[in-house]
Amino acid sequence: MTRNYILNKLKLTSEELVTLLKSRDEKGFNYLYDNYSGALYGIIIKILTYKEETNEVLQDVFVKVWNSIQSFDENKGSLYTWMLNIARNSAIDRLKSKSFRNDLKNQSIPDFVNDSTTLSTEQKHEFNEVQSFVDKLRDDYKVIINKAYFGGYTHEEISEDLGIPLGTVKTRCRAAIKELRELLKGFKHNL
Amino acid sequence: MDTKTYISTGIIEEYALGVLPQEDASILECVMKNNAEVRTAVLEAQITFELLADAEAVQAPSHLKSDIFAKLDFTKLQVNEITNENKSPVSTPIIPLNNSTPKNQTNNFSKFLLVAASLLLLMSLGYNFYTSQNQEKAMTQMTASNNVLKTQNTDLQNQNSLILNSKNIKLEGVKTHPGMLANVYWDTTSKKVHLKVNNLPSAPEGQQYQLWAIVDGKPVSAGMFDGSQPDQIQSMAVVDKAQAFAITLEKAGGSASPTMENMMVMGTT
Repeated sequence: MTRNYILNKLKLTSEELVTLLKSRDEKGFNYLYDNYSGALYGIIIKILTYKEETNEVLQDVFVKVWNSIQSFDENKGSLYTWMLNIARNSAIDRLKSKSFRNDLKNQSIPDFVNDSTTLSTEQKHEFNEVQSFVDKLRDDYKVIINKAYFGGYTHEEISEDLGIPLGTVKTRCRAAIKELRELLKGFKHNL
Repeated sequence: MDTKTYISTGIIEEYALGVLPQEDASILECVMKNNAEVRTAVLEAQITFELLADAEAVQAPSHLKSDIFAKLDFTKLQVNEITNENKSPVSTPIIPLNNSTPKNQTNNFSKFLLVAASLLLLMSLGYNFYTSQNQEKAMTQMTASNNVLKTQNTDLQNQNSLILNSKNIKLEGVKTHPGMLANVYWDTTSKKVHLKVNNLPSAPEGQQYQLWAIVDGKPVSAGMFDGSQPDQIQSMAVVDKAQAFAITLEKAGGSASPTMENMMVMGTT
């Protein structure tokens, strides 16, 4: 009920917004930035941890969104998901790029994006890491969401990496998303 | 495989996580368009990650907004007005034609006519002689080509009635094979599938093309072909229900399931 209401409201807004954006309306972009920049910034910083890098990637993401809005196809999902995927892919690409890896080496940062390693309170503070909904998941679910969604690893790669059968990865993945959905049930969509 | 089983394979979660390989994702996107249940499941998984992104939103530094706006081009696309400014009037000088009258040459002219007529007569006689010799040969050739045309006509009539009674599904080249093209003609009553290859390279030695029907997301083989007869409509399997058709390159004799990276063309019903 609540979900449907949210979904309809989001879809409506999304359709009007897409029309504005496709007609290259600056007001449309302003609305887009005000309503989605926080969510996109949040996902990018979750993947990259560094503010400098996150700022650069967010800029790239909005430029990409603006320049490729004509190719957005609502048959494949919402505008929001489309932008989240652009943000996630851009951040993961940056994470996998050589220059970023060198930065990581120089600063010896714990690899908590890909691992389920628990950080000390001090580290959490340092990296702006707050308790996330993903962290509330069971450990074996959390590691899969982190690796797949925030790390861009395929199920085959995760299966190999963790040494568990592919079928188990798929089952846990389904269960993880289901649990995540339950956890987020009370959370109000801000758009 | 029914819709429930398809949803339970975990393919939708992989898609929502953004880790589903491109070709599988294309198939899922096809299925989504035709199957409301699958579409709802995909949107629901995507909504979960949208809610997560809302829950974990972080305010971006305030200076970023103006930085980003400075990078964008907000000029609207405008139709260029055609201006005639460059077409400055240039005065063109009038050059008079040589209009000197011909001198009286009637005598010479009638002589010329006689010679020309004789020459034409000779040429005509020669030509007639030449053609009469070739006529019999030409007749034989024409009879032969007439028979070819008759066969072609029958073929075309058959194809025409087939096309009229079928649903046409255009299979277009996937990202890695742009420009490739084939057409499926799916008989609406008999459910028989016919295939016309428009543009596919001939299959390499030891390999064959395989046509697949995507039924609730599961590929079902609809037969093999070589692609060596590009102008013929080939008869394939009977398919009761499908959301999409696709062609992959497989080992000769076919495979039980399609080799996704060898997908050439695809189209939705």
